[in-house]
Amino acid sequence: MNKFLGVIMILTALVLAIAPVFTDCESQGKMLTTADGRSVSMKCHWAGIAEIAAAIPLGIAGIYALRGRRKETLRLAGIVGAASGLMAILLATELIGTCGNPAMTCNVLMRPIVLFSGTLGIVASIALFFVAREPEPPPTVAAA
Amino acid sequence: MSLLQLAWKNIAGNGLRSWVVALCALVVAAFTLFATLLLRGSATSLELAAARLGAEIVVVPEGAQTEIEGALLMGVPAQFWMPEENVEKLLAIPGVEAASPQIYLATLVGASCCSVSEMFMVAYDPETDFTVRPWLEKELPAGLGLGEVIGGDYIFATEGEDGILVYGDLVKLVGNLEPTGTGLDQSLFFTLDTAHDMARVSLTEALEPLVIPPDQVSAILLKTEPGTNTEEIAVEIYRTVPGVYPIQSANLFQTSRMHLESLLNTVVIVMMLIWPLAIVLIGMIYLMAANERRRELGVLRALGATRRFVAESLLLEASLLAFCGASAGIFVAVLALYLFRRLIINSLGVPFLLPPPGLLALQIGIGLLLAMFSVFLAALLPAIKISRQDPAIAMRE
Repeated sequence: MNKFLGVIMILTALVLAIAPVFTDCESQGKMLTTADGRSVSMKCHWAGIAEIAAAIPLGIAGIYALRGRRKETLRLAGIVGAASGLMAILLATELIGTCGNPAMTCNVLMRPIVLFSGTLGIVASIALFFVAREPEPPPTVAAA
Repeated sequence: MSLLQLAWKNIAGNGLRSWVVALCALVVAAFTLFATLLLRGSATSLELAAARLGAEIVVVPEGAQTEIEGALLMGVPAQFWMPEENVEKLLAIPGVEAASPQIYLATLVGASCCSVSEMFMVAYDPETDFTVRPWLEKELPAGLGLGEVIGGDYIFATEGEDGILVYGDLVKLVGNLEPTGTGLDQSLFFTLDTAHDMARVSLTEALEPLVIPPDQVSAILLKTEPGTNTEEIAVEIYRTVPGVYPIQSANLFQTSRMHLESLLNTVVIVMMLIWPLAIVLIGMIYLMAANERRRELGVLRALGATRRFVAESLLLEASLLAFCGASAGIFVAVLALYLFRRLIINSLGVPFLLPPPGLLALQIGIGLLLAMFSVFLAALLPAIKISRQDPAIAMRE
């Protein structure tokens, strides 16, 4: 079970890190033009870049879920994964956010992808935490 | 050990089989719910849009039928004109109680004088209006004043706290309407006076002036007298007023309704393929599992378990897997539909609105029951077969 959850966490981390690059407004050639004529990136682009920072711990937590054997390690991976998934959602909604117009590409594509992947990452991480909740048996001491 | 514990142990004991069964339940539940919600959401949205229009008959210039559907449903800006004198001609037709003209406009594409590019705008006559005013009465009993606008659910202020720049004219966004899932959500509504004021300001402030031809309107919305036959009135309009096309509200959005019908047929065909295949697959898995577990179940019988206990443990195991798989499928389907609704509207070209919570809960329940019933049905035959075997023979094999 933890291997399956680990795979989901790694996949969601990959989607969180890669998808925003191709689905923000800048990927569609849309940029803000300042009064002096310069083109600057919209905030959805920076939210997309920041998603990489949330995706990395989620991916690492997924690797631990895949390879880890100790229950404590798995539980910790679950906590880190859930926090990273939450961070991914907050980055795209509250902390940085996306463009104001709901019809723009970032709101039609990038934001739903991030929210969907972030939610799946959180659910998988919480599931991992509960799967690994059983206490480990005490270490056996070999008789002399 | 209780029946439930035994079922859980069996589920945990054979991971691959459990995953395959849960996955089948997930696919059946997710697909059923996704398709049902999408189709019902589209139908609800169409009905809501027709109801919000509030007119029994919409009269447009001949040839503009498709354009008005695109504008009202998808927010695709449309501009068409007919003489304003048609209002009087239509009011003279027996059975017509009220007639109100509307002007349809669109903002400029990529122009700095318009905050929003290519936005559909509706100007109405507050003197005769019976379609826009009822929605406003809840929030703005006094109606809209000069320079005031009300937006669909997607419209937001871009200049300051409540300003929107339209053709260089800064108008005040005084509120937003409830969502409909249609193009009305991305449309702007204001009075004819505001439209003419915009046209005046645009002459000096906009990249291109807003042109409203004098004595021309885009559409006329009709309210008929109670008990009259709208079809007869529509025929009379077609006969007596040249150059116009009357659309009855029941026939409005006909293209979308046909589109929905073809989508429904496709979904039914796909369901007819997926559902029996999932049942057969799960049935075969349980048949193989039942054969594998002959000795184990034989021992259980020899220890005193009844036939009913054995059959029930298998069916409970199947039901638990179905419940877990279907719950996951339903969660994914509802989440995906909610988050990607705008993409779906744009891609499929149909309006969409999530049903109210009560109806949503009912549909979720139906999806869950369908998935559980499918798995229960598939596991029923193997469960009966294995529970009937003789314990002594089963343990020897």
